[in-house]
Amino acid sequence: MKSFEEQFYIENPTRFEAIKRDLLLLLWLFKRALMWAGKGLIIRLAYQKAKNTGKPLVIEDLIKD
Amino acid sequence: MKKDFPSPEVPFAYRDQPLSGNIINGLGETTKRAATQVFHGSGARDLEWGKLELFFGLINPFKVSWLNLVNRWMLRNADGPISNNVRKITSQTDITAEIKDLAMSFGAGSVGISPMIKEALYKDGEINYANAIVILYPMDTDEMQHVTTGRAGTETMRAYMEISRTAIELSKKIRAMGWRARAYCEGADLLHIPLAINAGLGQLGKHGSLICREFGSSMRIATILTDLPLDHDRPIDIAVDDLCIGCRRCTLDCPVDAISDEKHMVRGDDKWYVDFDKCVPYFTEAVGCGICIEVCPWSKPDRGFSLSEKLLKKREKNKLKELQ
Repeated sequence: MKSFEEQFYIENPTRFEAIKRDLLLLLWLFKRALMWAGKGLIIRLAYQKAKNTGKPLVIEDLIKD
Repeated sequence: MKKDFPSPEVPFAYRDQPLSGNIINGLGETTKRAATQVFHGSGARDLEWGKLELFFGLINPFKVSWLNLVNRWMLRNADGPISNNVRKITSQTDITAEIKDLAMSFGAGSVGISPMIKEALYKDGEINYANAIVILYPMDTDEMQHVTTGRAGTETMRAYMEISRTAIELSKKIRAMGWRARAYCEGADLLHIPLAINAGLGQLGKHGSLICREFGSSMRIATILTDLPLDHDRPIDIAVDDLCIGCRRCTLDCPVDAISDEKHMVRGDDKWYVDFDKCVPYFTEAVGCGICIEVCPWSKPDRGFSLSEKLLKKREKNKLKELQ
């Protein structure tokens, strides 16, 4: 998988390449925001419960491949 | 004042523990080799401890997560169009002074220049530039008193955004001169600390972070890689080891005892090393932690220069005593 820089840093881009990069980056950011709001909310609630009960969360159960 | 830090018993665990970060980092290895990314892959790369990194991202408070996204959006301008009018460099000294002045006027707290070195690259990293302009940006020490809370996390992200802005502006200026330039900020493709040390900005501290005279460790680092011909700064000795050897602030205050009082052999270098497997899970629990940075005597405002001077004088005095 490519790093952030490899995906979105473009040396001397054409106008088309810059627009394409901006759209792909917006999509990438939107996906991350959505993940924080959706899956993240479930995880944050489970995390709070784990902190209160003392029963540790299992990372693999929350974050799948 | 002992603060109420989160418990060292982290409320999460792996069922199948990933390969130890200390092994991946080359702890105990006597042969030199490039570093391998373990964590902080900017969420775009599969790393051995990547699940924990994603978990960290998802439990971060809204403001920290939001600022991170805004910063990423800004970073699209870290590279870009290069002017066809190439500015001829008649004096490398003059252009170096101009670049440093520009960096400071854009908001950098400190700036140094190093040649690009292989120690700054991860394994299989391919980045071909001649020079690295390394800039530092201070974090607000009052806000950083609130480490292990979202407030300190927000301040860290604010500093990342400010340093990104500075680095992006400087890279744009260099590209407008017709030279290649790319800003590396919060991302993960470049190791900033070896470059900062080589650029004469400071030395590695016991807590594994850079220590500089201006801000101690309470700062963020960014690097602009460029082919613009520049004069290089040299590594400096500000007597960090003289203090770190005897000081135990970070070792005692680290809730998970991740910081050692001795240096370790890591990929062929004898240096300060923080136990990854102890540090990173706690770092995750403590919203980015930062206790070691906050308690470091070098991080106290306006302390670094006088502390360095005092330690260097003491060293000279001890040397003279030994000679007598």
